[in-house]
Amino acid sequence: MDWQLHDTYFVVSHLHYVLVGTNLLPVFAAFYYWLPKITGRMLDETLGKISFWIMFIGLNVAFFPMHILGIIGMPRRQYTYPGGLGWDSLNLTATIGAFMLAFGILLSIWNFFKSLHGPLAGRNPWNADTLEWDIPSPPPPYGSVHIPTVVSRHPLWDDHDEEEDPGDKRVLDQGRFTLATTPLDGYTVALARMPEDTLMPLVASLTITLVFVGLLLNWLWVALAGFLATVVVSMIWLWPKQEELPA
Amino acid sequence: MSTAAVTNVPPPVEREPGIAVLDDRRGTAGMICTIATEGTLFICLFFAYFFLAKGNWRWVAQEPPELTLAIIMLIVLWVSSGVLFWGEKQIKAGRYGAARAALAGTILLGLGFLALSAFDYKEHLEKLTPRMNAYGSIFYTITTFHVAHLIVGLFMLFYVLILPELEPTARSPHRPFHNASLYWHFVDFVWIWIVAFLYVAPNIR
Repeated sequence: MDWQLHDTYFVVSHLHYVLVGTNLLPVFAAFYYWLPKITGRMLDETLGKISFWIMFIGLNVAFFPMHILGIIGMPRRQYTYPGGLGWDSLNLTATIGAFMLAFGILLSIWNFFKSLHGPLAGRNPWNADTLEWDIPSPPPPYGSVHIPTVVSRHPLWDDHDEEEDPGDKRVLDQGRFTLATTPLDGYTVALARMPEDTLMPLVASLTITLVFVGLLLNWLWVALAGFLATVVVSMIWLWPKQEELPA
Repeated sequence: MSTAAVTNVPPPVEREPGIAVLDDRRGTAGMICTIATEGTLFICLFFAYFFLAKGNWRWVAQEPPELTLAIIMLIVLWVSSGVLFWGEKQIKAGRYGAARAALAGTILLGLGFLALSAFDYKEHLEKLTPRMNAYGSIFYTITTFHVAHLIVGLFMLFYVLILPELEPTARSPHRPFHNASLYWHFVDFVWIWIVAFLYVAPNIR
């Protein structure tokens, strides 16, 4: 069986069938699920369902016939084949399926652009259970003021209020400190300093770009200058700041 | 999806955060990750060396590299690591002047290593160039990558040397001396393997 199918279209078919079915479709599902959180706008549900069914039928029509093509001997890694070998109608079917799949994807892309003027999503359009749905859509910088305490696997469905913090003991932004906890039990063990606002990482990425552009074009003096600039920028970035610990 | 509220959940344990302990091990964790990454790079380079050597007849015909200088360079790096280790002990004893002196000594020894490797390259380049064959290519790739890491390590040590205060400090970076010295010991450790694989092994074959 292995020799029969080796280097045939069966391999192409199997790879694409598995990857598109288990990977591409879930990517689109995640796109429909989280895009409202990212952009704050809902995608069109009807259009989404049409897109799904066209993609689903398209991928089956495109990739299923290739199994048969492989079994009856069509080799892979060839861009063309002579007519009259009994492969023509199956290949035509696969081509039609591929265009259907592409059309289904285009519908979802159109749905995305359409959604930019679509209805507002609000915090939690799905009544979902996880923490990202507890903050506005799109999420503001520093979305949660208080460190949420999670007591179940469905934090937004239980009665406990994750942000309940009357004494402001779990405010994140005070002096850029946050709590360091044990990995398994989540017990508070120490205070950890968070990075401050600084342009230095951006500058460092530009100077590192200079290093590699210099190396690529064989301008060694430019690369050396970029390297020294990166060293200086890193030192400025990591230099201790004159700030006091909060009382 | 169910919309029923999940009840019967115990309330969370209230714990006072406490201000006493600062988490000063994050930088060290970052340095360990960096060392793991760079260590993987050298493992891949050594793999490439042996992979290219396998079944390559020109490899056997190659004259093995001169040992003496490489061994001297190894001793220089060992001494530098020892000096740095001694410096860290001085910090724990509160003698910051001695610690800074140890840093300066390590940097001088590192510069000495650079000078010696310039001599070493000069000697090698007479017989072997990077573009000559696969052996020359991988030999210079590995040694130059090591020198590049050593130069980065020198800049790290220099940065720690000019810091206004060494550890332990309430400000970030919390343990600059410890983290930079971890990296320096790593560079030293890699040189041991380079000497073993690239210099000693071809001579005893």
